Amino acid sequence: MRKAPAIFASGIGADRMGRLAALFDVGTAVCDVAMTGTFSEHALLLTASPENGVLDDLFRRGMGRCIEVDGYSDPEVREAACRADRSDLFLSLTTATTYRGSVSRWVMQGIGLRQVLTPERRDDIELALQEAISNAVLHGNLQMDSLDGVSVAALERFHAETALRLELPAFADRRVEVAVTLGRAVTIEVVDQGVGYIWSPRGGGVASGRGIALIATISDDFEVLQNGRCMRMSFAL
Amino acid sequence: MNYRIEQREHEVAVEISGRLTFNDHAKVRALIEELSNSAPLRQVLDVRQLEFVDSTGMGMLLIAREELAKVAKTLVLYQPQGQVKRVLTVAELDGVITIEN
Repeated sequence: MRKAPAIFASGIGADRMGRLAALFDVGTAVCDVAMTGTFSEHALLLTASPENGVLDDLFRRGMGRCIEVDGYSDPEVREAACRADRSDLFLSLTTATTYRGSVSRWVMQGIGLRQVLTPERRDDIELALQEAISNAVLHGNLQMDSLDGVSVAALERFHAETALRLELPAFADRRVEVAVTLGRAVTIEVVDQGVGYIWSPRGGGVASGRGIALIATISDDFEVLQNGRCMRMSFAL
Repeated sequence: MNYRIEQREHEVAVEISGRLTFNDHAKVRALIEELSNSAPLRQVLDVRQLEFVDSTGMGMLLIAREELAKVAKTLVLYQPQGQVKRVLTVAELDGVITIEN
């Protein structure tokens, strides 16, 4: 049986924290995250929308599970914590936070602290993860089409539309979830809340659309699940 | 991603560092504009300090190459290392974009 998680909080008001603490098992300590020190493998972070650099620092110090509570109801936080408990590393973040952050780097820091990887393997896993996250954010949650040309004008249009959608809660508050299990292989699931898509091994242009093809090449096994909302990738060790 | 432009006599050298990923398009757009407006015909992207690039980042470099070709300029990637080198190979872009080692 897994040990009950030690729960840490960052930027959450006392009222909400009190309600959240009541949802977890009696006796589970909830404390504000410290500025220094390391975290045990059972640590779980509940955070308001994190500022740049905060998660970078916490993941470097051993934090492996994080739920952004903004945009989530209390029961949704509890359910996400159950999913986190089944994973070695776990992040549930809004699209806005995922877009701004370097999620693939945070996850790789977490994996690196728990599993020895060669630099080549590390690079490959990070690339596949990055592609899955960029897919979940741009084409999943923000429902962006691929670039419509290889030109600055096309890049400009894409940028403007992305920025617009990131301002709309209907898009920006959708979640991206990354769950990692470690064992004989590194298995990573990236889940979004978009409308889904049907993956075809053909398709993909020069300047965009290469992401899934790259994942297929790099991973030992990958599956597109939940009608395109979940990408599961495995990397043998 | 961060970049620093150095004007030389016959070329422009751009040192790119950090991570070039899907949320860097504003910076790449600014970079392309600066390169388009600089006189030398040879433009060198020094990617030795670039730690990580994803397919969207590579796509943006291809757009840079395309835009510069329109004004008769050539774009060269200088000494890709580690992960960046690997992506160029895996994505089969080493035959599409000019690389100097």
